[in-house]
Amino acid sequence: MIDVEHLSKTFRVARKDPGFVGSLRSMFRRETAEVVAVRDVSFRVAEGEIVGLIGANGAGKTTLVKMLAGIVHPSGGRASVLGFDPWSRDDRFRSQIALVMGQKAQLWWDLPPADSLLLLKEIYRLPDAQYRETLDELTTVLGLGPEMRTPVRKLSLGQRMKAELVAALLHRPRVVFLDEPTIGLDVTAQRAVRDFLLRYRERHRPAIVLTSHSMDDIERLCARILILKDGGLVYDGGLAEVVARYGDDKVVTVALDPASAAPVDPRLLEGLGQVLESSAATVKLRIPRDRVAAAAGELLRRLPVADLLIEEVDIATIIERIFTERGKPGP
Amino acid sequence: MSLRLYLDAAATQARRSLTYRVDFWVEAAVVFFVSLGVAWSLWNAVFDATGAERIAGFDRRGMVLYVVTVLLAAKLVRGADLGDAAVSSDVFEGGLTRYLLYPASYRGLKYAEHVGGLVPSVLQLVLFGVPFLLLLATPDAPVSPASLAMGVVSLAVANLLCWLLLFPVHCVAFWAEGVWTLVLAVRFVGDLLGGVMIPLGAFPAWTRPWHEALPFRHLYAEPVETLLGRRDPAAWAGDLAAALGWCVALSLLGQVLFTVGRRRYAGPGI
Repeated sequence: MIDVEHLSKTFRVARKDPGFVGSLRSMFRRETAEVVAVRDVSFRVAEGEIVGLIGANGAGKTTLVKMLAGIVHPSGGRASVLGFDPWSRDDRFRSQIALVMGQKAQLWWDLPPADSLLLLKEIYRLPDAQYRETLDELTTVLGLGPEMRTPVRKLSLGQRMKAELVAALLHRPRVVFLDEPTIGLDVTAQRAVRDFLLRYRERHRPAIVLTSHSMDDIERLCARILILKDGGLVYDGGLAEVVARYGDDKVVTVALDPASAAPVDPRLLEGLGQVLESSAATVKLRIPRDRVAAAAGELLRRLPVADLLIEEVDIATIIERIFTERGKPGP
Repeated sequence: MSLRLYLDAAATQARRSLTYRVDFWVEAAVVFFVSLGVAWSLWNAVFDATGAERIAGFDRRGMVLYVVTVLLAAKLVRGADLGDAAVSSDVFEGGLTRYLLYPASYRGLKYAEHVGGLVPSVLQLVLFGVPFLLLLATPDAPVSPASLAMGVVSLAVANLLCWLLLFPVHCVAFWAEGVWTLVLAVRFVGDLLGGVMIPLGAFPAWTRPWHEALPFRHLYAEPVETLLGRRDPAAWAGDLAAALGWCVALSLLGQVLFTVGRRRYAGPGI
């Protein structure tokens, strides 16, 4: 459904020195610099797949999504979405995709969602029966009722995002781009949006590309992730495999015997690994994977251990490490 | 493209523009009474100072009628050419993104919205302008059903022409960060050369070729003179054909600029 080959995007952006003199100088001579937003990215997404696109701020996630939705022209490479070149502005392409932006309202601000939906019905040329059926399905699942007749500007953020989802999915798109769909939502609303997306995927089997900084979104929704770093794709694979590939360490948590109330002598932990936490009750260390067995033995020998737990480093930490490490080779 | 889509887009915008009731009444009253007050004071002073009985073919009453009518008509012709619904705002603030996703013409939808946004101005014209027009009709301004009908057609074409004239200017936003001043400058030139500030007949004779060569007279002076019964059907038809010719030329220019400019669009604000 989505086929991307060597896609790149370079922006030319204005630069200005800070302060009044910089502002004055820029009135006469504007300096510009080229910024590579997306660099030689290739991947495929199949029908019914939800792919998480993750990366630090400025990694190129949103630019990539905007290119695939046909909004931004690439500087190089090619992409095919549903067999169409996204930048050809073919109506058959645009009537089969949707883009939901958590930070940018698509609905008309002054009007109730119901009014915007009537216009969308005409824009997408939806038959009356299909419009009513889809609208009923979406509003029921998302729990929207009187909100549909309330001006968007008076809705809460969660209600607005639900209404945005209804507007985006009204025409039953086969490819959905979701850019931070749960940003700013409370935990309950986040869960409702995630549950809805899973149900929608089960029923309609669209290809979904999701960008999010929420690891909860990624873990709940995506079996596969793409990690972008400085515009380049550094990982394309299963969420579980990223741990095996980049999770060089394990976390060992030791619950100490309550009878020994004294804090642990730091010298007892020397050479075992990175101490994450140390108190009278608990010691937590990050230990290289190949030394875990030996280190666990040492801990059992040196400390009054009541319990011992060995875990993988959590996925958010691994991904954060990928974002921040520089110079690590890509796949 | 479905006509129903554009009617719906216009109706949606009309509902939006009628959301703010207080704003509607304040603007209606302010525009009408302030325009009337200014025109009355200014042109009485001009007539008194010059001692002339007629200026640019108008007597005092006819001049006030022309100036107030042209100011009310200008609101209909321009619509919301600036503000958050303007094309340049869409480019600068990222509102264009929504339209690029739709399987519909951006220019078609925007123009339909532009027309829908005129509803408050039409209501204001009907509430204040038409009674005033009929009340002050003079031998200089023999308003008739025929002149009103021809004038309405001219105003509709003028509205389209004005939008198409400003569309390429708004497209400059693809290259420059702010075009608000540029749009204002074009509007000012249009007001001056289109007969909003002073009737075209008051300009020196040597400027006439310029008026003939440029599209601005089709925006305000000609529709208003038609409304006031000062143009015969033959002259009206010729003016209308010329205005439509400008529409075609400007539409092509706008299409080229939009197509080229869209390649630079970065979808800001996301």
